Amino acid sequence: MHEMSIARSLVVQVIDLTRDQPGQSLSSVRVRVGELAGVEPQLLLAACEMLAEESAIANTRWEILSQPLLASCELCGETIEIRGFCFACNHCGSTSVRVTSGDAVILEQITMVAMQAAAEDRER
Amino acid sequence: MTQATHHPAERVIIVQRDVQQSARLVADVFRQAMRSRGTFVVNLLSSPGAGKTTLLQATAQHWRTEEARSDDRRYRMAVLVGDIATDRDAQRLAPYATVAQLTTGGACHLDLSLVQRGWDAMQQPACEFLFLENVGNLVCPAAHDLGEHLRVILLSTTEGDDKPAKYPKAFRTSQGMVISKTDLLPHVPFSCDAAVADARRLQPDLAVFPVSALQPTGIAAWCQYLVDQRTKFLNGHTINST
Ligand SMILES: Nc1nc2c(ncn2[C@@H]2O[C@H](COP(=O)(O)OP(=O)(O)O)[C@@H](O)[C@H]2O)c(=O)[nH]1
Ligand SMILES: [Mg+2]
Ligand SMILES: [Zn+2]
Repeated sequence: MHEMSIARSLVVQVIDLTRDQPGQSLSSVRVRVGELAGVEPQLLLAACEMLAEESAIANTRWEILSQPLLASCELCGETIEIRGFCFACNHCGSTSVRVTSGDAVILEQITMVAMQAAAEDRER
Repeated sequence: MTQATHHPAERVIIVQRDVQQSARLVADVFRQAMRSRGTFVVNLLSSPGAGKTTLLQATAQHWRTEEARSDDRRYRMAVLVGDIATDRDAQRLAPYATVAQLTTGGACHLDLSLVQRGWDAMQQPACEFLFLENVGNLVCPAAHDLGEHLRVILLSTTEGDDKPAKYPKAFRTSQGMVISKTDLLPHVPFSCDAAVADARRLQPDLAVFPVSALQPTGIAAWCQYLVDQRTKFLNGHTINST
Protein backbone atom coordinates (compact mmCIF):
# COMPACT_ATOMS: atom_id res chain seq x y z
CA MET A 1 0.00 0.00 0.00
CA HIS A 2 1.16 3.51 -0.77
CA GLU A 3 0.70 4.74 2.82
CA MET A 4 4.33 3.72 3.27
CA SER A 5 5.55 6.20 0.67
CA ILE A 6 3.40 9.00 2.15
CA ALA A 7 4.74 8.16 5.61
CA ARG A 8 8.28 8.30 4.26
CA SER A 9 7.86 11.86 3.01
CA LEU A 10 6.12 12.82 6.26
CA VAL A 11 9.02 11.56 8.36
CA VAL A 12 11.57 13.31 6.13
CA GLN A 13 9.67 16.60 6.31
CA VAL A 14 9.25 16.39 10.07
CA ILE A 15 12.96 15.69 10.58
CA ASP A 16 13.74 18.72 8.40
CA LEU A 17 11.49 20.90 10.52
CA THR A 18 13.07 19.77 13.79
CA ARG A 19 16.51 20.76 12.44
CA ASP A 20 15.39 24.39 12.64
CA GLN A 21 14.71 24.00 16.38
CA PRO A 22 18.00 23.60 18.24
CA GLY A 23 17.78 22.69 21.90
CA GLN A 24 14.31 21.27 21.40
CA SER A 25 13.14 17.76 20.85
CA LEU A 26 10.04 16.58 19.04
CA SER A 27 7.20 15.26 21.15
CA SER A 28 4.29 14.94 18.76
CA VAL A 29 3.14 15.36 15.16
CA ARG A 30 -0.41 16.07 14.05
CA VAL A 31 -1.54 15.00 10.59
CA ARG A 32 -4.90 15.50 8.90
CA VAL A 33 -6.00 12.90 6.39
CA GLY A 34 -8.66 14.16 4.02
CA GLU A 35 -11.61 11.90 3.34
CA LEU A 36 -10.67 12.01 -0.35
CA ALA A 37 -6.92 11.73 0.21
CA GLY A 38 -6.99 8.09 -0.83
CA VAL A 39 -5.10 7.22 2.32
CA GLU A 40 -6.11 4.83 5.10
CA PRO A 41 -5.43 6.63 8.44
CA GLN A 42 -4.75 3.40 10.36
CA LEU A 43 -2.22 2.23 7.78
CA LEU A 44 -0.59 5.65 7.72
CA LEU A 45 -0.26 5.64 11.51
CA ALA A 46 1.35 2.20 11.51
CA ALA A 47 3.74 3.24 8.73
CA CYS A 48 4.73 6.50 10.48
CA GLU A 49 5.40 4.75 13.76
CA MET A 50 7.43 2.07 12.08
CA LEU A 51 9.58 4.47 10.03
CA ALA A 52 10.06 6.96 12.88
CA GLU A 53 11.28 4.17 15.16
CA GLU A 54 14.38 3.74 12.98
CA SER A 55 15.00 7.48 12.63
CA ALA A 56 16.09 10.58 14.51
CA ILE A 57 12.52 11.10 15.73
CA ALA A 58 11.82 7.88 17.57
CA ASN A 59 9.41 8.18 20.53
CA THR A 60 7.21 10.67 18.70
CA ARG A 61 3.48 10.58 19.29
CA TRP A 62 1.63 10.54 15.96
CA GLU A 63 -1.85 12.01 15.91
CA ILE A 64 -3.53 11.03 12.65
CA LEU A 65 -6.89 12.77 12.40
CA SER A 66 -9.42 12.80 9.63
CA GLN A 67 -10.57 15.85 7.73
CA PRO A 68 -14.00 16.25 6.15
CA LEU A 69 -14.35 16.92 2.45
CA LEU A 70 -15.31 20.56 1.83
CA ALA A 71 -16.12 22.24 -1.45
CA SER A 72 -17.21 25.56 -2.74
CA CYS A 73 -20.17 25.77 -5.13
CA GLU A 74 -19.23 27.54 -8.36
CA LEU A 75 -22.84 28.57 -8.91
CA CYS A 76 -24.16 29.88 -5.58
CA GLY A 77 -20.84 30.31 -3.77
CA GLU A 78 -21.81 28.33 -0.69
CA THR A 79 -19.26 26.25 1.17
CA ILE A 80 -20.58 22.72 1.39
CA GLU A 81 -19.57 19.46 2.97
CA ILE A 82 -19.48 16.60 0.50
CA ARG A 83 -21.03 13.52 2.10
CA GLY A 84 -20.98 10.06 0.59
CA PHE A 85 -18.78 11.42 -2.23
CA CYS A 86 -21.79 12.96 -3.91
CA PHE A 87 -20.36 16.01 -5.64
CA ALA A 88 -23.40 18.24 -5.80
CA CYS A 89 -24.37 21.43 -3.96
CA ASN A 90 -26.99 20.83 -1.25
CA HIS A 91 -28.18 24.43 -1.59
CA CYS A 92 -28.74 24.87 -5.30
CA GLY A 93 -28.17 21.37 -6.71
CA SER A 94 -25.33 22.43 -9.00
CA THR A 95 -22.72 19.75 -9.73
CA SER A 96 -20.11 22.36 -10.44
CA VAL A 97 -18.27 22.30 -7.14
CA ARG A 98 -14.59 22.85 -6.38
CA VAL A 99 -12.96 20.89 -3.57
CA THR A 100 -11.35 23.27 -1.09
CA SER A 101 -10.11 20.82 1.54
CA GLY A 102 -10.18 17.16 2.43
CA ASP A 103 -8.42 15.77 -0.64
CA ALA A 104 -4.90 15.71 0.75
CA VAL A 105 -2.68 14.66 3.62
CA ILE A 106 -1.77 17.75 5.61
CA LEU A 107 1.11 18.00 8.05
CA GLU A 108 -0.72 20.28 10.45
CA GLN A 109 1.62 20.90 13.37
CA ILE A 110 4.54 19.58 15.34
CA THR A 111 5.08 20.00 19.06
CA MET A 112 8.58 20.61 20.39
CA VAL A 113 9.74 20.43 23.96
CA ALA A 114 12.88 21.98 25.46
CA MET A 115 15.50 19.24 25.72
CA GLN A 116 16.37 20.14 29.32
CA ALA A 117 12.74 20.00 30.36
CA ALA A 118 12.36 16.72 28.53
CA ALA A 119 15.37 15.29 30.35
CA GLU A 120 14.09 16.51 33.73
CA ASP A 121 10.74 14.99 32.95
CA ARG A 122 12.37 11.67 32.28
CA GLU A 123 14.27 11.79 35.59
CA ARG A 124 11.09 12.17 37.56
CA MET B 1 7.60 32.00 30.16
CA THR B 2 7.38 30.05 33.39
CA GLN B 3 9.10 26.71 33.55
CA ALA B 4 6.56 23.97 33.85
CA THR B 5 7.21 21.75 36.82
CA HIS B 6 5.03 18.78 35.96
CA HIS B 7 5.05 19.09 32.19
CA PRO B 8 8.00 20.38 30.24
CA ALA B 9 7.41 23.57 28.28
CA GLU B 10 5.88 22.61 24.98
CA ARG B 11 5.94 24.69 21.87
CA VAL B 12 3.54 24.08 19.03
CA ILE B 13 4.73 24.90 15.54
CA ILE B 14 1.97 25.26 12.99
CA VAL B 15 3.02 23.80 9.66
CA GLN B 16 -0.19 23.32 7.69
CA ARG B 17 1.48 21.86 4.60
CA ASP B 18 0.29 19.38 2.00
CA VAL B 19 2.67 16.45 2.36
CA GLN B 20 2.68 15.85 -1.39
CA GLN B 21 3.22 19.50 -2.25
CA SER B 22 6.85 19.18 -3.35
CA ALA B 23 6.01 16.08 -5.41
CA ARG B 24 3.28 18.10 -7.12
CA LEU B 25 5.70 20.91 -7.94
CA VAL B 26 8.06 18.40 -9.57
CA ALA B 27 5.08 17.00 -11.49
CA ASP B 28 4.19 20.51 -12.69
CA VAL B 29 7.70 20.99 -14.06
CA PHE B 30 7.45 17.69 -15.97
CA ARG B 31 3.95 18.58 -17.23
CA GLN B 32 5.19 21.91 -18.53
CA ALA B 33 8.29 20.40 -20.14
CA MET B 34 6.16 17.82 -21.95
CA ARG B 35 3.73 20.48 -23.07
CA SER B 36 6.45 22.61 -24.60
CA ARG B 37 7.66 19.67 -26.67
CA GLY B 38 4.12 18.93 -27.82
CA THR B 39 3.80 15.60 -26.07
CA PHE B 40 0.42 14.98 -24.48
CA VAL B 41 0.74 12.74 -21.42
CA VAL B 42 -2.08 10.34 -20.58
CA ASN B 43 -2.19 8.39 -17.30
CA LEU B 44 -4.25 5.17 -17.59
CA LEU B 45 -5.72 3.74 -14.39
CA SER B 46 -7.62 0.49 -13.89
CA SER B 47 -7.91 -2.73 -11.96
CA PRO B 48 -5.61 -5.52 -13.18
CA GLY B 49 -6.72 -6.98 -16.48
CA ALA B 50 -9.28 -4.30 -17.39
CA GLY B 51 -7.66 -4.02 -20.81
CA LYS B 52 -5.17 -1.13 -20.72
CA THR B 53 -2.52 -2.81 -22.85
CA THR B 54 -5.11 -4.12 -25.32
CA LEU B 55 -6.66 -0.64 -25.61
CA LEU B 56 -3.25 0.87 -26.36
CA GLN B 57 -2.63 -1.77 -29.02
CA ALA B 58 -5.99 -0.97 -30.61
CA THR B 59 -5.31 2.77 -30.40
CA ALA B 60 -1.98 2.40 -32.16
CA GLN B 61 -3.51 0.14 -34.82
CA HIS B 62 -6.26 2.67 -35.44
CA TRP B 63 -3.82 5.52 -35.95
CA ARG B 64 -1.64 3.37 -38.16
CA THR B 65 -4.61 2.60 -40.42
CA GLU B 66 -5.58 6.28 -40.53
CA GLU B 67 -2.05 7.25 -41.35
CA ALA B 68 -2.01 4.85 -44.29
CA ARG B 69 -5.10 6.61 -45.66
CA SER B 70 -3.88 10.19 -45.44
CA ASP B 71 -0.40 11.37 -44.84
CA ASP B 72 -1.11 14.62 -43.02
CA ARG B 73 -2.11 12.71 -39.89
CA ARG B 74 0.57 11.17 -37.85
CA TYR B 75 0.36 10.30 -34.20
CA ARG B 76 3.47 8.83 -32.78
CA MET B 77 3.07 7.23 -29.41
CA ALA B 78 5.35 6.22 -26.60
CA VAL B 79 4.28 4.04 -23.71
CA LEU B 80 5.72 3.57 -20.25
CA VAL B 81 4.31 0.38 -18.81
CA GLY B 82 4.23 -0.10 -15.08
CA ASP B 83 4.33 -3.74 -14.27
CA ILE B 84 5.19 -5.33 -11.00
CA ALA B 85 7.42 -8.05 -12.37
CA THR B 86 7.30 -8.91 -16.07
CA ASP B 87 7.88 -7.13 -19.37
CA ARG B 88 5.14 -8.98 -21.24
CA ASP B 89 3.05 -5.84 -21.79
CA ALA B 90 6.04 -3.95 -23.15
CA GLN B 91 6.63 -6.79 -25.64
CA ARG B 92 3.00 -6.62 -26.76
CA LEU B 93 3.29 -2.89 -27.44
CA ALA B 94 6.75 -2.85 -28.98
CA PRO B 95 5.50 -3.37 -32.59
CA TYR B 96 3.47 -0.14 -32.38
CA ALA B 97 5.21 2.29 -30.11
CA THR B 98 8.39 3.32 -28.41
CA VAL B 99 7.99 1.47 -25.17
CA ALA B 100 9.80 1.04 -21.89
CA GLN B 101 9.02 -1.16 -18.97
CA LEU B 102 8.96 0.38 -15.53
CA THR B 103 9.54 -2.41 -13.09
CA THR B 104 8.12 -1.21 -9.82
CA GLY B 105 9.60 -4.01 -7.74
CA GLY B 106 6.31 -4.75 -6.07
CA ALA B 107 5.19 -1.14 -5.63
CA CYS B 108 1.48 -0.58 -6.00
CA HIS B 109 1.68 2.59 -8.11
CA LEU B 110 3.94 4.49 -10.48
CA ASP B 111 5.65 7.56 -9.15
CA LEU B 112 7.11 10.40 -11.12
CA SER B 113 10.75 9.46 -10.51
CA LEU B 114 10.07 6.08 -12.18
CA VAL B 115 8.33 7.81 -15.07
CA GLN B 116 11.21 10.23 -15.55
CA ARG B 117 13.74 7.41 -15.47
CA GLY B 118 11.76 5.48 -18.09
CA TRP B 119 11.36 8.56 -20.27
CA ASP B 120 15.12 9.15 -20.15
CA ALA B 121 15.80 5.45 -20.80
CA MET B 122 13.73 5.60 -24.00
CA GLN B 123 15.73 8.71 -24.90
CA GLN B 124 12.81 11.14 -24.86
CA PRO B 125 11.46 10.25 -28.30
CA ALA B 126 9.59 12.86 -30.36
CA CYS B 127 5.95 11.82 -30.03
CA GLU B 128 2.48 13.30 -29.87
CA PHE B 129 1.33 11.02 -27.05
CA LEU B 130 3.00 9.52 -24.04
CA PHE B 131 0.83 6.92 -22.33
CA LEU B 132 1.54 5.88 -18.77
CA GLU B 133 0.05 2.45 -18.18
CA ASN B 134 -0.22 2.51 -14.41
CA VAL B 135 -0.04 -0.51 -12.15
CA GLY B 136 -3.38 -2.35 -11.97
CA ASN B 137 -4.90 -0.86 -8.81
CA LEU B 138 -7.63 1.73 -8.26
CA VAL B 139 -6.45 3.03 -4.89
CA CYS B 140 -2.79 3.98 -4.78
CA PRO B 141 -2.27 5.35 -8.34
CA ALA B 142 -5.17 7.74 -7.77
CA ALA B 143 -3.19 9.67 -5.16
CA HIS B 144 -0.05 10.13 -7.25
CA ASP B 145 0.40 12.91 -9.78
CA LEU B 146 2.63 11.68 -12.60
CA GLY B 147 2.77 15.01 -14.38
CA GLU B 148 0.05 13.86 -16.79
CA HIS B 149 -2.22 16.15 -18.81
CA LEU B 150 -5.12 13.73 -18.89
CA ARG B 151 -6.19 10.96 -16.55
CA VAL B 152 -8.35 8.17 -17.90
CA ILE B 153 -9.85 5.32 -15.93
CA LEU B 154 -10.79 1.99 -17.51
CA LEU B 155 -13.68 0.05 -16.12
CA SER B 156 -14.30 -3.33 -17.71
CA THR B 157 -17.74 -4.87 -17.98
CA THR B 158 -16.49 -7.99 -16.18
CA GLU B 159 -15.64 -6.25 -12.92
CA GLY B 160 -19.13 -5.02 -12.04
CA ASP B 161 -20.81 -1.62 -12.29
CA ASP B 162 -20.40 -0.78 -8.59
CA LYS B 163 -16.72 0.17 -8.86
CA PRO B 164 -17.12 3.97 -9.00
CA ALA B 165 -18.63 4.19 -5.52
CA LYS B 166 -15.88 1.95 -4.13
CA TYR B 167 -12.99 3.97 -5.55
CA PRO B 168 -14.08 7.62 -5.27
CA LYS B 169 -10.66 9.20 -5.64
CA ALA B 170 -9.78 7.36 -8.85
CA PHE B 171 -13.03 8.44 -10.52
CA ARG B 172 -13.07 11.97 -9.11
CA THR B 173 -9.55 12.69 -10.39
CA SER B 174 -10.15 11.30 -13.90
CA GLN B 175 -11.37 13.31 -16.86
CA GLY B 176 -12.20 10.35 -19.06
CA MET B 177 -13.60 6.87 -18.53
CA VAL B 178 -13.38 3.96 -20.92
CA ILE B 179 -15.89 1.17 -20.39
CA SER B 180 -13.92 -1.73 -21.80
CA LYS B 181 -14.92 -5.20 -23.07
CA THR B 182 -18.38 -4.10 -24.19
CA ASP B 183 -18.49 -7.21 -26.41
CA LEU B 184 -19.09 -9.15 -23.18
CA LEU B 185 -22.17 -7.10 -22.16
CA PRO B 186 -24.62 -9.84 -23.23
CA HIS B 187 -22.90 -12.28 -20.88
CA VAL B 188 -22.24 -10.26 -17.72
CA PRO B 189 -24.46 -8.40 -15.25
CA PHE B 190 -23.20 -4.91 -16.00
CA SER B 191 -25.27 -1.80 -16.57
CA CYS B 192 -23.45 0.93 -18.46
CA ASP B 193 -26.09 3.44 -17.38
CA ALA B 194 -25.63 2.61 -13.70
CA ALA B 195 -21.84 2.77 -13.94
CA VAL B 196 -21.94 6.10 -15.77
CA ALA B 197 -24.48 7.58 -13.34
CA ASP B 198 -22.35 6.51 -10.38
CA ALA B 199 -19.15 7.80 -11.92
CA ARG B 200 -20.74 11.15 -12.80
CA ARG B 201 -21.90 11.63 -9.21
CA LEU B 202 -18.20 11.71 -8.44
CA GLN B 203 -17.08 13.54 -11.57
CA PRO B 204 -19.94 15.30 -13.40
CA ASP B 205 -17.72 16.26 -16.35
CA LEU B 206 -16.46 12.74 -17.02
CA ALA B 207 -16.23 11.91 -20.75
CA VAL B 208 -17.32 8.30 -21.34
CA PHE B 209 -16.21 5.88 -24.08
CA PRO B 210 -17.70 2.39 -24.34
CA VAL B 211 -15.13 0.33 -26.18
CA SER B 212 -14.49 -3.21 -27.31
CA ALA B 213 -10.91 -3.65 -28.35
CA LEU B 214 -11.68 -7.10 -29.75
CA GLN B 215 -14.56 -6.39 -32.13
CA PRO B 216 -13.36 -3.52 -32.33
CA THR B 217 -15.98 -0.87 -31.60
CA GLY B 218 -15.70 2.58 -30.08
CA ILE B 219 -12.00 2.88 -30.83
CA ALA B 220 -12.40 5.68 -33.37
CA ALA B 221 -14.36 7.87 -30.91
CA TRP B 222 -11.81 7.22 -28.19
CA CYS B 223 -8.91 8.10 -30.50
CA GLN B 224 -10.69 11.24 -31.64
CA TYR B 225 -11.18 12.26 -28.01
CA LEU B 226 -7.44 11.92 -27.39
CA VAL B 227 -6.60 13.99 -30.45
CA ASP B 228 -9.16 16.67 -29.52
CA GLN B 229 -7.95 16.88 -25.94
CA ARG B 230 -4.38 17.21 -27.11
CA THR B 231 -5.25 19.92 -29.62
CA LYS B 232 -7.32 21.82 -27.09
CA PHE B 233 -4.54 21.59 -24.57
CA LEU B 234 -1.74 22.64 -26.83
CA ASN B 235 -3.97 25.35 -28.27
CA GLY B 236 -2.32 25.66 -31.62
CA HIS B 237 1.11 24.69 -30.45
CA THR B 238 2.75 22.37 -33.02
CA ILE B 239 5.15 19.61 -32.24
CA ASN B 240 8.82 19.93 -33.18
CA SER B 241 9.50 16.99 -35.42
CA THR B 242 12.92 15.48 -35.23
N1 LIG C 1 -13.61 -9.81 -24.49
C1 LIG C 1 -12.69 -8.84 -24.41
N2 LIG C 1 -11.52 -9.10 -23.80
C2 LIG C 1 -10.61 -8.12 -23.74
C3 LIG C 1 -10.85 -6.84 -24.30
N3 LIG C 1 -9.74 -6.08 -24.05
C4 LIG C 1 -8.88 -6.86 -23.37
N4 LIG C 1 -9.38 -8.10 -23.18
C5 LIG C 1 -8.75 -9.23 -22.51
O1 LIG C 1 -8.57 -8.95 -21.13
C6 LIG C 1 -7.35 -9.48 -20.66
C7 LIG C 1 -6.51 -8.41 -20.00
O2 LIG C 1 -6.18 -7.41 -20.95
P1 LIG C 1 -4.92 -6.46 -20.78
O3 LIG C 1 -4.93 -5.52 -21.92
O4 LIG C 1 -3.69 -7.28 -20.60
O5 LIG C 1 -5.28 -5.72 -19.41
P2 LIG C 1 -4.37 -4.75 -18.51
O6 LIG C 1 -3.87 -5.57 -17.37
O7 LIG C 1 -5.30 -3.68 -18.04
O8 LIG C 1 -3.28 -4.23 -19.37
C8 LIG C 1 -6.67 -10.12 -21.87
O9 LIG C 1 -6.92 -11.49 -21.85
C9 LIG C 1 -7.36 -9.45 -23.04
O10 LIG C 1 -7.39 -10.26 -24.19
C10 LIG C 1 -12.08 -6.59 -24.97
O11 LIG C 1 -12.37 -5.52 -25.48
N5 LIG C 1 -12.96 -7.63 -24.99
MG1 LIG D 1 -1.21 -4.26 -19.09
ZN1 LIG E 1 -24.76 25.88 -4.93
